[in-house]
Amino acid sequence: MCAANLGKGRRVPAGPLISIIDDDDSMRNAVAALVRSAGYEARGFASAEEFLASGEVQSFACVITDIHMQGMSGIELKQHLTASQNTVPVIMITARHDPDLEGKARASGAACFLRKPFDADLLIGCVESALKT
Amino acid sequence: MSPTTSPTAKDALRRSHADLAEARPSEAQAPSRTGSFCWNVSSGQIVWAEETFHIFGYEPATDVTTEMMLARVHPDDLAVVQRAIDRAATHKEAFELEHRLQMPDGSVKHLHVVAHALVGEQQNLQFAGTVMDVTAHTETQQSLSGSEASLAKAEREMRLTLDSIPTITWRGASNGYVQYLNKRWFDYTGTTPEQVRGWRWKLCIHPDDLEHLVDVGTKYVASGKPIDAEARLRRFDGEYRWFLFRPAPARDEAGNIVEWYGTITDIEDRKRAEAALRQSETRYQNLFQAMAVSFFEVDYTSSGQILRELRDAGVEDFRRYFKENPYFVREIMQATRVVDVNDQTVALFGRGRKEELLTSVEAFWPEESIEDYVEAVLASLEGNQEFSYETRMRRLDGTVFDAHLTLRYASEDKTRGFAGVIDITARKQASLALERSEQRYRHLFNHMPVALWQLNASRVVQKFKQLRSEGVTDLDAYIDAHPGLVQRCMEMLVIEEANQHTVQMLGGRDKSKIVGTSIARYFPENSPTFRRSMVSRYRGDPNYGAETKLTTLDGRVIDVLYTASRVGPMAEPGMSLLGVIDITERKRAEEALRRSEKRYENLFQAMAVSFLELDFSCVGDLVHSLRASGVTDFGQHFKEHPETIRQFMRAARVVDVNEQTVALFGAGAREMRNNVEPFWPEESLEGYAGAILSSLEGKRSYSVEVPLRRVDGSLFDAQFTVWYSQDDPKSGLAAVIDISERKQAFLALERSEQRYRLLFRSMPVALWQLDARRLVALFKDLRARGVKDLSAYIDDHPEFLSDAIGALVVEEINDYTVKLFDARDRNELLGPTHWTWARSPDTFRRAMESRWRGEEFYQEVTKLVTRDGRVIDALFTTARPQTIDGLTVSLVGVIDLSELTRAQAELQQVRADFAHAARISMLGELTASIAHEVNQPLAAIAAGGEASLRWLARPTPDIGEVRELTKRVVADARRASEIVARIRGMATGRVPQQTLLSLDDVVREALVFLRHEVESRGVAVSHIPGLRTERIAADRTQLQQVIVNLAVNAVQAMALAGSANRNIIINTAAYDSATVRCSVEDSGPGIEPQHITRLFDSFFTTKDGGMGMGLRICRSVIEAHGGRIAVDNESRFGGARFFFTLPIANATN
Repeated sequence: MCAANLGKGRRVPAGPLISIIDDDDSMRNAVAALVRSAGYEARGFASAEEFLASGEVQSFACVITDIHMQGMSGIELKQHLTASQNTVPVIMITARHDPDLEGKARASGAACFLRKPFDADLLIGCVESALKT
Repeated sequence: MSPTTSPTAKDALRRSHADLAEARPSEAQAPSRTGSFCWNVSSGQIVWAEETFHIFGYEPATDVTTEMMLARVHPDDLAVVQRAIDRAATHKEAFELEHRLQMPDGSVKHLHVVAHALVGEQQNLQFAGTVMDVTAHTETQQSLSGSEASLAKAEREMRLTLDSIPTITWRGASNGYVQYLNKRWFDYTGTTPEQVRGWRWKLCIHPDDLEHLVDVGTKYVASGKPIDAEARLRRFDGEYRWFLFRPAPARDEAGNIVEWYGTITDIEDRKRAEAALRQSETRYQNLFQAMAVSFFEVDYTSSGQILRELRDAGVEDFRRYFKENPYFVREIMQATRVVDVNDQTVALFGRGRKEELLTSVEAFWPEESIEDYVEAVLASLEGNQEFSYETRMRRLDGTVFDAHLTLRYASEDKTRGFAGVIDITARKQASLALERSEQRYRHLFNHMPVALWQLNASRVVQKFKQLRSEGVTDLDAYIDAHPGLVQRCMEMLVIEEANQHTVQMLGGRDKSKIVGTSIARYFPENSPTFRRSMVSRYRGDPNYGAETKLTTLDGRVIDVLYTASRVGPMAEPGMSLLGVIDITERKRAEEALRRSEKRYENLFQAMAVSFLELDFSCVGDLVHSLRASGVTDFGQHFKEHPETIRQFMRAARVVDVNEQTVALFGAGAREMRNNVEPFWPEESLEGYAGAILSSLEGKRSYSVEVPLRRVDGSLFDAQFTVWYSQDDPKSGLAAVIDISERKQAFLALERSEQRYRLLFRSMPVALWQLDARRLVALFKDLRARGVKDLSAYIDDHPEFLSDAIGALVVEEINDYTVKLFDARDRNELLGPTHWTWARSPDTFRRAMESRWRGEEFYQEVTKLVTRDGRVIDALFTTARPQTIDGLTVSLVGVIDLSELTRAQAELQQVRADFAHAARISMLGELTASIAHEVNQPLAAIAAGGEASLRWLARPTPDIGEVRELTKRVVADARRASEIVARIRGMATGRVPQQTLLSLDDVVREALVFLRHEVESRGVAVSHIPGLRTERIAADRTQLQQVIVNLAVNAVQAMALAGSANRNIIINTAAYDSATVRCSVEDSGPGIEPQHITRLFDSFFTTKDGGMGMGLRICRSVIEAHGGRIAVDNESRFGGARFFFTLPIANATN
């Protein structure tokens, strides 16, 4: 349902498809809008489980996910993808300030680690470099 | 000794032979080796039968001597034989002994000797008896024992054991052929081994039980499983007793039954006990079911456990604890289970189904009776086994009734008990009705005038005389034949004298209209009541009382109770006294209280007037002699010589008294008192003196209230009234009414008045009494001028207030007013009160408006000025009691609130400070959570803004996309500011605002604050909302604070304990129709029992760095909302459970 909403008003030609996972609706929508303004196509999911259950995991070029969510966390999602041989780059975002969170995220193989609120250029830069690899 | 024996000895011998012949055929004497003998002790003569000679080894012809006999006695037995004979001779009684004989050939014989004592005519003693040679028998026995000795030792012991155990044992072949039965069988059945050999043991079994017994045996063989059987066994005397048959088979190696061994145990007593018990049980069960009392059997196991836990947790003052934690009372009730109830309980409490009642006792206790239940619990804690009281209980349909409840513990450990409930609604109502009726009649009586008529009955008496002379004995029958007699008699009864009450009752202007009339004027024609009265009189009954209707002079019909009695000396039988009491009122009341009629009659009888007819003949003499001795001023004389009054009393002879006098003064009043003196205690002498003086002054009657003495010496308050006959100064009538009740009521009133007067003076409240007459006049004037709205009038004429103050004049003040208003003396404060209203003219104005509206009472908190100009905070109250002189008196009370207000303000401040500090501390703990909540929308705003900028920066800016994003940014910004507002609400010490809200909404909002906190500590929180959405009137922020606080405590406790599973459930539910309950349950370690009672105290904390204020504030908040908060360890996760209740807001609020 979230994916459907994001289709509205899209004018930019379709670029690589990016998945946005966040259980906070407005945050998810804002990130999706930001990504699309940079010329990518975006689809949102309210949880990691919803994303995995979409059956289209293979079609995404990059994943931007919140770390702390009800159910599976962003780090667990990355671990799950790695375990199933999926190498899609995962950018992790968090609103938390736990000291060792970044360490954990990097250790799990996160392409980028950002704290909310983040700089838009930083996120777009992360996406660009992730897509290059 | 000669062979020709004396006749006596021969006779004896013959008799002895005859005896023997009876016992045994005589020809059997020799084979049986029994010989007889006779021995005359006096003469020493001994006669032996032939066989006796043989036994002793002598020739039959030989003369027998004692020496011969003793010569054969075995030397070892000589002493025994000698002793037996000596004793028998001395006591002249029969003897029996066994001894041995030593025969010349050295052989030994065993003898059994039996002898009867025979006392002859000359008192000479003879013994006649038999000697039996029992040698063979004895030897058999001995040889038997010898053979027994050869038996294996084990078997003998076995047999001995079997014979000595109190159970019958047997052994039989596999087919049931009995081979052995122990001694007890034979002892019991009285049978011989021969009689029961083989299968004949069955003969001893009760015929009805035999089949069963055999059947059981067969089944046993078939199944191989041991089976017991119960059957009756016949005793030697033919009586059957119940036995338990328990067989056990002995098998060979192949498992076939070879032999049976069994025991048979007497269970008759057990059976009987069982039967008795069963009977008793049935009886009790019937009793339990049928009693007209509702019974509950109650299981206290769990509730007892709760109480023990509370005690273990350090609770000592249970009463206080229950008061502070009413939940626990409910909990205890819920834990107290009904195990059984009787039919009466189903009828009284249930809706027809017993199962519905087998629940916790909570169902039966309405809110209003909780305290009674607490009393019962406390009584049990104090060790009472039984507790009984009246309370109100609830039926399953919710209705409540008055009940008398008795609780009794059935067991020492108090785990079981009985409760008996009696529905006393009817009784209570009856007693209330009785009380009302009693009050009503007491009132009636106090105001009931007694009309007294003195009748001239001489013509009726004459008529009666005539009838008697004609031989009429049954007047009733006579009247049947002559119905006109009743009316004629009524016409013949003329009223000679009537009292003032009569005049009032009959509606005349004065008694002249009544005196001289016949009673027929008032009674109904041929009054049947009067007829009965006549018949009673004719029979010679001294008085007669009945109810009838009378027609008054003005035509009203009234109900009266009249009492006819003969007064006056017997010489004047023509005088009759009629007491008439108007009971019209009472009749009406009776209609209303028909059920209390009986009660009323009793009461009426008990309160009737006591009459004494007095003869003052001797009083005149006493007066004369005193006058003769120079006494002129009797009053003075009585004061100086009070003993004279007693002389007067003794001179007043009691001629007759009525039944009521006996009732009032006690049994014996009629016989013992021939003058009035004994009735008068010392303290009443003055009262009697007054009576004498009034008589001397020629007054017709005198009445005084004095204590009088009963026969038993006790005193009572009485109204003593004496009437002096005008025609005959020597006679008079006294009436005594017991006024103890009235007097006591009066004394109570007097005491009450004194108390109030004292209260007025000394109360620590300033009290003023104001004269409002001029104010009343002012108001009247305004109303006359058409003023309707005083408030509007005052707006137009502000000077009116000053006039009104001037028109209210302080008349009276108490001591405290002088002090409070800084006055030097009372006078300074009397008069108008302009001086005090400077700071609060509106208060006075509102008081005036209240008076204008006709209210009796007005109150407000205001500021008043004292004489020194000091301003005091005061609660001003004014009352205009209508009962005192209309509205012309006002009462004002002023309570000084200055101190109270100051103390309250300080308290409020301290409390607010603490609460604020606690909130801040909690917010500190929640900082991360709050930051997260605010950060989220901020991040969204930033991202949205950036996205918008990018869309705008494109060569063709996408306005639609930007509009969409900007909307979201605005929404996120609003969301952020809401969160900030909420935090501010919690952080600042703002005034609580009560709004109608749903507890579940509050829980949801609180969970927003908690999200980060619970997530970061790995706690799963679930919220189970209530089924319905009851609204409560509460301050949203404060309640959020309570829930946040309880949840944070739970989170911290679980984190601190390192609990693996961390769960919190917040549950709201309607507790009852008026209350919602919210519980917060966790999976932490729970609360230490010793902490439970102190948990809500200030500065109590188990956390390092905790302030110990959080729960204290939770409690303040909940209690300020009219709720209760408590904690236990009954969480469904095994941890702590905090719960609080809040009252549901009424629909009208």
